[in-house]
Amino acid sequence: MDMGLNKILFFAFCSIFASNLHSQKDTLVVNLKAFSLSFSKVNDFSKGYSSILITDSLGTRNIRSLTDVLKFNSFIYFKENGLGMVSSPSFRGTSAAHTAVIWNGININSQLNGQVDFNAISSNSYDKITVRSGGGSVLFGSGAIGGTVHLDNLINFSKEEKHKVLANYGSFNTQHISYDYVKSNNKSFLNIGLGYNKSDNDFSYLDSNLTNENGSYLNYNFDVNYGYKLNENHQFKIYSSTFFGDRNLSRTLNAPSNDGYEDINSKNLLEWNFALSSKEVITSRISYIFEKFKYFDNNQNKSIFSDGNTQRKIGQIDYNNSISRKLKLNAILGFESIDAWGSSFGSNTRNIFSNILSLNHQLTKKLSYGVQIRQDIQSDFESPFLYSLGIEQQFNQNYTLSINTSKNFRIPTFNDLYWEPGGNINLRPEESYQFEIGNAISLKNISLQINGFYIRSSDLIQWIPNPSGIWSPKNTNETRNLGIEFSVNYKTSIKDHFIGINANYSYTDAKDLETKQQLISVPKNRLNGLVNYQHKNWSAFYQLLFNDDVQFLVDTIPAFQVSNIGVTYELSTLKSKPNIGFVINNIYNTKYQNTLNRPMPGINFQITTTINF
Amino acid sequence: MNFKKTVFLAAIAGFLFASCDNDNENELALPRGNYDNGLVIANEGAFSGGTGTVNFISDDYTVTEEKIYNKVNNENIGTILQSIGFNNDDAYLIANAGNKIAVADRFSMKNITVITGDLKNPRYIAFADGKGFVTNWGDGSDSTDDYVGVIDLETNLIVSKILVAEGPEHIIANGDFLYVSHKGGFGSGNTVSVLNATTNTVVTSISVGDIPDELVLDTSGNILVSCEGKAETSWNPSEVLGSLVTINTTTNEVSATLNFASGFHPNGMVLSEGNIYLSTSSSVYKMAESATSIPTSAFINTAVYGISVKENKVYVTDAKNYQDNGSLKIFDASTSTELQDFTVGLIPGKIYFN
Repeated sequence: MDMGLNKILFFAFCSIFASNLHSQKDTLVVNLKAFSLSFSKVNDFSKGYSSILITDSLGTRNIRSLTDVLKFNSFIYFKENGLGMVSSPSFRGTSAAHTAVIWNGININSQLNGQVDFNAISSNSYDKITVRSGGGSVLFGSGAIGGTVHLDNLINFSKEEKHKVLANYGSFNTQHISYDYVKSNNKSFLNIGLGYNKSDNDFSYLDSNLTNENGSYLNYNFDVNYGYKLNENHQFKIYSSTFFGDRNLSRTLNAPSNDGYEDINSKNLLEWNFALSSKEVITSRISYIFEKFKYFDNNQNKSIFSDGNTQRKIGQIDYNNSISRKLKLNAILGFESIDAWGSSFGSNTRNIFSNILSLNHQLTKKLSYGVQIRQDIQSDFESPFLYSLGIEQQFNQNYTLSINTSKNFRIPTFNDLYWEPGGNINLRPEESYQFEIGNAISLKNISLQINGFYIRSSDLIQWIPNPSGIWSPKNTNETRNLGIEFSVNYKTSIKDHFIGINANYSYTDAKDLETKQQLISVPKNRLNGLVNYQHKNWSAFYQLLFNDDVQFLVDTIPAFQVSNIGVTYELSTLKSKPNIGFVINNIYNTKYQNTLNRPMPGINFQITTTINF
Repeated sequence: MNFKKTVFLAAIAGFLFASCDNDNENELALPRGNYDNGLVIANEGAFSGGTGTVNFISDDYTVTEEKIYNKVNNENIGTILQSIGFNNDDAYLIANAGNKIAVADRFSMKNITVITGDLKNPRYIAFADGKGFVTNWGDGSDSTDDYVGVIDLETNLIVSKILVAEGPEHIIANGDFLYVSHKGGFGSGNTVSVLNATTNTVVTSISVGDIPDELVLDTSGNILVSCEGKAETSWNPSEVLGSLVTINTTTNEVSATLNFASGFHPNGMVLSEGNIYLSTSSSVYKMAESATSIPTSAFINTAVYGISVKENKVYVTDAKNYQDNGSLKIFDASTSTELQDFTVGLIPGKIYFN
């Protein structure tokens, strides 16, 4: 009852606020060059939140998948169903659907299961990969509870033309070829990317006479990013990313498999940046996102399959105002229409209106805060009012303290609502409150970040058998996650020797409040580290990952420690500066699993080459 | 371990004395293995990457042991232990998603061999004419590849496949004939097929109620079939009543159909000492074999995942939340009083007696 009134008030509030701001229009011309909406969300409107820019630590290392990148460089634990197979994240002990992936500002979590398969995203397609810890539902929507992963493409209007070819070959007949082309000037920007990955992925399981049968995969990606600067006030940008994957789903230690899985997803975004003044920018966005999968019970008989399809149409008006150097404001009105259809859930539509208001204020030279609020209006159920507050206090040059608190949510997916049999149309959104303290210490060569977090989630949706024995989702679980994250970044150079060290450690205690038991699939302790060394034309790295025991139902996945090493040589005498590298994965031939009874490969090798022209 | 052994020896000793008292003819009967004279509980285990396990509980409840097959053989049974079939001293442990059958000595659990070839979603096994017959769903979404695999018990190899209708589930032998309930796999079935064990052929197919599940041989040599029917839900708006169907094994025709009340959709059925026990997910109902109507009130109210009845005791497993270990409860079959409660493995589906 009251909710309806609240919504009306909220709308009214938004429009009044917006119109007030319009009256402050300025005549100065803004340079939109450095303006990117998606980053500004992470940078400007994330006061009190910490994030790690992953792309900084990638260097020349060539990476197999987004899972590989993030598991060695972030706090996220990946439940990877074997190398290259479906891979879902667990961030701060939350479930797979509680990490949101934001592609150029748009939440791309599946509308069917709420998750993102990190092995169905090409890691070479993005200029910037950022991991932001903590809830971000106000800015990033449903599922942004544990944290968010941001994939961004940069569009720059500066003169440049370059080609880059990457070709890798490794154990188990693993092939990667990609091509990236950029041509830009002060008027336009064009980037085309093509990628191809293929692997037989038929490694032998250590201490077993089994091999990773039925594990082969193949995928392609095609990306186009285009920008056009009409004049100083208007810019148009197109982002398009399409991925096609064809995988067999590998066996486990306890069961063979002949399953197959094909998926295609296409993300398209048209953005128009309109600078009203030096301070105000309106960005209008239209996005079309399409996802389709086919699951084969028997990959030798592809005439029989089950499938799922979703189609999203998104429209947004995003208003930014840098009212003063100290005060920034952002209001977003959004509409999204989602259609989903498939073998197991009929055909359904959902419409969402969203209203977001963000404010960033530098109160004094050292104290700043950000406030954000969001109210969605959904066709299927009542959406909770969401908020976020972050405060940063800089005590001195070396030390900044930040705190944030937020309310976040995850809406039931199409599977949850409409799956036949079992779907439950009476589900409510999951709600989650969190509080976090962050300490950033920055010295000459070293920077440290220590975060403590507390997340309390309720009405979590869990699939359990109903009285007639059919698995059906219910708003039942209540969980409490608390933990500490510690990251360190050290850089130094002695003459022409450069050394960089990154390490991330997390301690997570996640409990089901009803059963008082630890949540499944959460490692208590997790550590990853990276050492980069560079000398003249040579560069080398060593990376390691320690993952604690993980409970999975009544079993325990043992703790493991795995390390990779690699070296790259750049032929700087040649104009194209080609480089060639050699990587040894799992150098100690450690037997390990990320998910129960799905062994990962022992020692394996990769040759990498890059040519720029 | 030593403690366990001591307990175990005490238990054996206890058994010997007890047997001297009770049954003089068997006084020389020694246990035929560590797992003689007790209950064998088959736990399905986790679907994703997990393995089935077997719990043992001695008849006098003094010895309980988990994962007995896995421990004795230092190897896993395979994903989803669907059922165990017994042929004399041999146990056939059927791993449904594991597509294998571990053959072991039923009393020691020592592995004899593993059958892996020509199994696809195996479910249940029966024995007739010196052969094993195992129902297979084939690929779940393919309705035309379902079969009963014929196992040569000498070689423990599948030597022949009898193609049958979709979703063959339970199978029982009656002389040289086998009766197979077609529950329907991922679809829904409504037939019982009759196979000739000598010729490995389908003799006939009998229409019964929707989703026929458990099969038992009654005291007059006919087959009782419990049919689940279909509950009314948002995705299935019109209910189909469950039923108890009697098949005359002389004519292979339905001789009686007893419809259950609306909302009663049984998941288990056992015949013991002249009584039929029917279970739903929350209750056990008891009726005389000769009864012509279905009981209206429950005999025991308890969560039921699997049920067995023997020597005036009702054994009921509860899979609980399907994430933690389940339980086995034992009730008095006359008074319905709960006698015992044990923790067993993950998703305990079946109870057998050694």
